[in-house]
Formats: sequence, C-alpha cells, structure tokens
Amino acid sequence: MESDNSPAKVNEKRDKIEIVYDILSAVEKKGGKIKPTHLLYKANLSHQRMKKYLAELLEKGLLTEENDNANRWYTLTEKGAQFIAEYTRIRKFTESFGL
Amino acid sequence: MALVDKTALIGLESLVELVSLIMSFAVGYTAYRIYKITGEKRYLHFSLAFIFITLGFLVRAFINAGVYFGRKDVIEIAINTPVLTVHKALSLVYLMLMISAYLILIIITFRIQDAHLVSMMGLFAIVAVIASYYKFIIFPILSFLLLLYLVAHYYHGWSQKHTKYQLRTLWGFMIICLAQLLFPLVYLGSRYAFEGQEFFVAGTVIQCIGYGVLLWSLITVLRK
Repeated sequence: MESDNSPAKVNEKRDKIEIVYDILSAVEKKGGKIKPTHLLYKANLSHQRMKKYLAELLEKGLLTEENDNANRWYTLTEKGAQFIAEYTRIRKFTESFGL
Repeated sequence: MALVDKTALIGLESLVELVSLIMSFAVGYTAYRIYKITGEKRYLHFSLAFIFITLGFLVRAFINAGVYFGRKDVIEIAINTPVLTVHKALSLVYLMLMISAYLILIIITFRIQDAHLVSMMGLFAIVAVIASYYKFIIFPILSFLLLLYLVAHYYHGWSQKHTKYQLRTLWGFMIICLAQLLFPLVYLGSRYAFEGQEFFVAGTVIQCIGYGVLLWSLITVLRK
C-alpha cells in the first residue's frame, strides 16, 4: 500500500478497479474532500483520463462535486467509502492467499 | 497396538471431513464473490481449486458412507474385483479433484502462464491420478510434495512482507501439508501389521485444523 502522501504507483500497470481505488482513497486521505489539482497529482493520471474517471465516479454516486465560490471540490460519498472498505478487503485477501 | 478404541473412531473422520468441506467451500465461495466484483480470472481459478477440494471431500464422504452404512462387504468385494464399480469410480473422481485442485493452486500462485507448461502439468495430473488409483499410497505422498511447493511459495511471500494474514495462510497450508505425511502410515500399517486407523483419523483431524486456519485467515481478512 502507498504511504499517505505519495502519489499512486506508475511503474506497475494498474487496472481500472485499482485506479478507482486510488482516486477514492486519495479523497479519503484528504478527509473526504479534495480539490481537482490535488486529486490529479495523487491519482497519477493524465488530465484526460482523470476527467473520464471522475465522470464515471460521479455518475455511479461514489463521489459528488461541490462548488465553493471559485473552488471545486470532490467529496467521497457513503457508497464511495463502502467501495474503499470492500476493495481493501479484496487486497488483503489477494495478499494473504498470494494471488 | 491400537492407541484408541477403533470403534470410537468410526464416523469421526467423516464428521471432521464435513467440517473441512464447509471450510474449503467458504474459501472458494469468497474467491468467487471477489471474481464477480473484479472480473479477474485468477480469483475464479482460485475459487475453482477450492471448490474441487470441497467436492473431493464430498466424494470421500460418499465413499466412507458406503463403508459405514453396512456396505463394507460390498466395498471389499469391489476393491478386490478388477471391475470399475461405484466405489472405484468415486475414488478416481476423488483423486482427480484433489490433484487438479493442488495443481491449479500451484499454477495460480506461481503465476504460470506458459501454455506448454500448463499442458505438461495437465499431463502430469493424468499420470498422477492413474498411479494413485493403482497404488493409493502414492496419493498422500504426492499431495505432500505438491503442497510443499505452495508452502514454499507462501513462506517466500511472508518473508518479504511479514503480514499476519500471510503468516496465517502459510500456517494453514503447512498444517495441511504435514497432515499428508500421516496417511501413508495407514497403508504401511496394513503391510507391516500395525494399527493404522489412528493415523488416518489423526491425519484427517490435522488436515481439518489446517483448513480451519485458512478459514481463520479468511475471516480476519474480511472482518470489517
């Protein structure tokens, strides 16, 4: 697992579910609310790919978008937090059984 | 000399195997659920291996039930007759399920993707099943050796990260692996005129403890 402040790994090929986890856990580590610029750095994705992922996460209700004056924030939803918990368990299972 | 009254052991191994069956099913089902979430084939194959083990225990329960429910004479005739009877067919199915399960686990955990190597392992499985079918003592020895590969793999994984989850899985497979060493003593017993039934029950109980440790590992992983 990555440390709290490091961006997601780039040297290993990440599949979609792992990228979603990286995005959501980056939001969670920032207290459940993050600015797009921070998220871009933490998730280690291109602007274009990030836009695509965010659109999907907003549509599926894992994140919500908030506009606060000139700033835009992404907030983790209950469903998003549940996804993180479920995926953490999957990672532990994978590690535990050497898969 | 018998260490315990043999009649007291009748049925105990089936009961223990039933517990092992439930535990191996729990591991297989969890892996299948993860496959449904992630869509990754490795979880499906892992699940398949544990479902094979579950079915293997189920088949063995049928074989044992044939012995315990008054069909012992029929079974003995069947064993000594060169005709494929239900008992022999079930034994063959049991061997196929267990050897395939161990090989699938080795293929997944060692990430063997070379089609030639996988097909060669398939060929090995066929030879192993046939050899074990004609000389049953081969099966526990082979199981021990195959499980030893898994133990080595899990030890390597644990030595790199040292997580408690990996340690539990390592212990689980190590116990299952060591339990296999007790089963050949049953067959040696009949050859060298000493009681072997206790070793069979002890092996089954120890094996069950191993699956229990795997289940414990699974529960701690899935706990919220």
